[in-house]
Amino acid sequence: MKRVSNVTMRKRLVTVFILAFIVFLIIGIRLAYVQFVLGKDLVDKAEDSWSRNITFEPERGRILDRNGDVLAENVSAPTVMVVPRQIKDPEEAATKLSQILGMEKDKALQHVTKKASIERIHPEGRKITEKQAEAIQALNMEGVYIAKDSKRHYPNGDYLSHVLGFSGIDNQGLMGLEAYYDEELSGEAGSLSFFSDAKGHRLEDMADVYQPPTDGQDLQLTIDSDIQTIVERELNNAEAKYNPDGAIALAVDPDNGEILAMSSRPSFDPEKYKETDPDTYNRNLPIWSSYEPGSTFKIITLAAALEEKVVDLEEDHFHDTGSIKVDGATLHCWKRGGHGDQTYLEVVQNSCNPGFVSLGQKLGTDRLFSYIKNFGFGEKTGIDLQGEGKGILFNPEKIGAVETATTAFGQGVSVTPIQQVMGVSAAINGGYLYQPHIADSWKNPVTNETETATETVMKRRVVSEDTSEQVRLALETVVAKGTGRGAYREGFRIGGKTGTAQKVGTNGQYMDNNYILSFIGFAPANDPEIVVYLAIDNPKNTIQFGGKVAAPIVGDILEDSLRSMGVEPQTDGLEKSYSWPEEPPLEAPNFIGMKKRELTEYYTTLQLEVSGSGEYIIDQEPKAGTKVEAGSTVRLYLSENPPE
Amino acid sequence: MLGKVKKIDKTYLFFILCICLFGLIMVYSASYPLGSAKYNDSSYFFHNQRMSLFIGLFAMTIGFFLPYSLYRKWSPVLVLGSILMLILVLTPWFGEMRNSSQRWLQIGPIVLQPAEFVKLTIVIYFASIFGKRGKTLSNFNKDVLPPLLVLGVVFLLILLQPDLGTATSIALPCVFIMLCAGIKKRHILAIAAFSVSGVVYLAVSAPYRLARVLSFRDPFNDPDGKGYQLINGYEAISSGGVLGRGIGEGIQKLGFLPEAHTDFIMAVVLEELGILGLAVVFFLYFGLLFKGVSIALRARDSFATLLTIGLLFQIMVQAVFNLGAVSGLLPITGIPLPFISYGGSSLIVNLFSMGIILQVSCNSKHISMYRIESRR
Repeated sequence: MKRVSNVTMRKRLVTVFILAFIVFLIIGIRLAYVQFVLGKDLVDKAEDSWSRNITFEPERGRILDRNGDVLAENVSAPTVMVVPRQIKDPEEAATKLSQILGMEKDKALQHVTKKASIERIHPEGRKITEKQAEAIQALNMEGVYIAKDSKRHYPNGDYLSHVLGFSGIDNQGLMGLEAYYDEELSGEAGSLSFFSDAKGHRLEDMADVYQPPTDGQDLQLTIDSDIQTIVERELNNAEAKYNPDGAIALAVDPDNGEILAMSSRPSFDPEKYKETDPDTYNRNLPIWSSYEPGSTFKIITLAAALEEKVVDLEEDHFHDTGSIKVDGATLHCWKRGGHGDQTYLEVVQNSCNPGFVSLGQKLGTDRLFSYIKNFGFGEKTGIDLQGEGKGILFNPEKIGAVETATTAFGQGVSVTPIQQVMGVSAAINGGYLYQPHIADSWKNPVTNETETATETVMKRRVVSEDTSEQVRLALETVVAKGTGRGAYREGFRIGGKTGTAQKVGTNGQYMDNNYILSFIGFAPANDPEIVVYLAIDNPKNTIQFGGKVAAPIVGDILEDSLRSMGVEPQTDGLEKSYSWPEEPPLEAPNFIGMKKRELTEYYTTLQLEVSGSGEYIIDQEPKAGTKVEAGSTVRLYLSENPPE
Repeated sequence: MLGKVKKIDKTYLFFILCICLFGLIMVYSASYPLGSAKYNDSSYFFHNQRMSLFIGLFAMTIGFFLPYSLYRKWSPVLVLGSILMLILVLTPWFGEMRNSSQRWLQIGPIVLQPAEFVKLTIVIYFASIFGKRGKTLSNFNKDVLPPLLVLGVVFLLILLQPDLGTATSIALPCVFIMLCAGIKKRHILAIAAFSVSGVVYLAVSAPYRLARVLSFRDPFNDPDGKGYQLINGYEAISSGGVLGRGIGEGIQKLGFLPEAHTDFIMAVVLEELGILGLAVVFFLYFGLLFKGVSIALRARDSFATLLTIGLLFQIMVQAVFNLGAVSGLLPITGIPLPFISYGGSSLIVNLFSMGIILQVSCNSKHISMYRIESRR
């Protein structure tokens, strides 16, 4: 029967004290953990589900062209929100809401009785009309709120749609510039916090806390809607006339890389993106598509050869027999029988393939490909748009003489339209390769003041001013005297180059009678203000040649654009030459019995108008041997079978 | 009488006053939105709490001057009286139902929470039983079981209200008294085994308890229901950071955090004062704990020692239950944070306890530490 000693009591007490200390320590650590680690994560995760805030969507920034014309804006489209716990009679609320919103009552009832602090009636109650919103407000029902919301409106429909893109039901950018600059355009949501107890009942007589949303900034583009309108019009015309598989147009200011216009076909209406084939809106062809450029690529070879001084355009001559043998392979000129003896300037004017092969050989593989890389091919241009393609160059280890030769006249490489435009811009602007851009500046939506402006990025200098000047003049002669005559416009000093590229099919072989016809033009040739590239994919009912289809359209675009830009016509340009050098006044050739694909050599001397369908030409008007003027029209009739 | 006042442990008194003032300020900050919403008076709760504090300080004075030897004499009566009140509160004639719990006793204009009263009397009873001079604790049935049975009755009566949290917070200090009194280790183990099995049984048998246990494990399972309060507490805590939003600047109390001024006042403290507020609160509680334990050690007799331990750990257990709930470590039991949470009964009773402890500090043996050492 030992009495409990004080020592035991003291020991136990100290033990309990230490225990209490440890427990407090654990709780303290846990609170600090909640404060600095756990809380943020969990709260972010759960924020939407338990927040008792009514969000106020910020106004999405508008998109404007360089002159301030509105390209994308917002129109009011309110959204219905319900706080189920505040609704006194869910049945009645569901009936009335379903009537106004045109939905099934059961579904409405599900929303108004949902176990959530705040519920959106999705999708029927979202982006409703002002009329519906007024009707709901007139109900004056407790727990039913109309939240201000807006939806995107593109006043010009499918105009510039690939560039603008579109945004979804939550005003989130999904495509195009809307997606690329989503963060800046979106702004930040505001909220109205109302006071509620644990059960979500609203506490009356209590001022609600309103945090206004921060609206998104307005995006001003480098796009000139006058030029864009011209381009869209021309593409519409081309579509009507040639029913092509697709079309691409691109206009750029060569002195800074600003995109002035960009369009392609097929097009779509951004407000109806849900009804559009995703392939259509996913592919912004001017920057996405990549294909063999054809002859337009010869400008790069030309610039390289001039910069390296391996050729003198006036003095050096080349004799074209119609084909050239390279490493055992025979490469044909597009013109049967060849162009005969030419200066290299004429090689450029005639777009003579063997002539360009010889330029490529003079440069050598390494120098040619190093220029191609320097001109920006094989890498993304870095334009501020989504989905840019890179193109394909030959694997450097596999480049032989044949690859060098075909590359020199634009075959065997795959490039994007934007790469071509930027490369050619560098060749004619004094040698500066710019990074293209489409965002010009960000403006405060209220004050309309510029907050940030995009800076011009010059990537590198590729050729000298002297080379650049020679390229400009050579290309001006192409339009005045050579294959690009369709683009000639009196007084506007247009320079340019045609391109006819055979498409590669899914089997990796060239497809028959399926070409991308292109033309890249610029003006004025002495000081280019604008570069325009146009490509028509597989036009129907026409000769498949760039000079015939694409050049006149580019001529129209350039002329109208220069007028709208206020560039005065000049009088010291080159005169258009109506006669083909070396060719006397013509006799109409005998077309009868020829195949359609053999016609390409006559495209520049005569306008050919084809009717009927089939491979073979069975009749012509005027008849063979009739004297005709160069450039006059010959009608041809086609049939499936050769003439008897 | 004045000589007694002179010997009072001034540090301890300082800690008590500090924590009460801190609590009053935080109650004001945490309750003004609810006050203006419910009563159109932003300082409604503040005024109430200030009044309770005055009454509490008066109660503390009484606790200080009323000789504790009296309690020892009257302890069986006090316990019987409080058991009677606990029974009354469960009857429909006297008990009042609030928040689906029957915790309040209405006698005329006075509304009492008998559980608050029992907190005191059961501790006094335990201290007097185990602090008897010459008491031996070798026979479980004779020495340990009878007070345990009384505790069991009290525990069950509170459980019927139903209020598991309060019941546990009342039982634990009694267990600590027994521990410190020096009961045998095997008795401790037996009690522990019995309690654990009891707690498990209770948690499983009543669905609402189980649901509460489950909800505290994963508040995000039911963010709008059972987890709502804790998640909003987390939100408040996590937005506090190091220095907090500033006193009065909290957002969660604006209707988002239920019981911001009572059970979850610590979340408001952390939101508005950050980790600094946590440090202040912990410093004050540690001060009370540390000084309280040293007062207990220096007490003149073992009744005083055990009484101090009981009262002191009553405060600490409540604090742990409250802070554990706010931090998500323990289920939410609705136990207020002593001295800081809004609530009159709790504050008054706690201050009365402090008065008793202060009285013990005056009657202490001055060189007790030395004497214990020299006895070895």
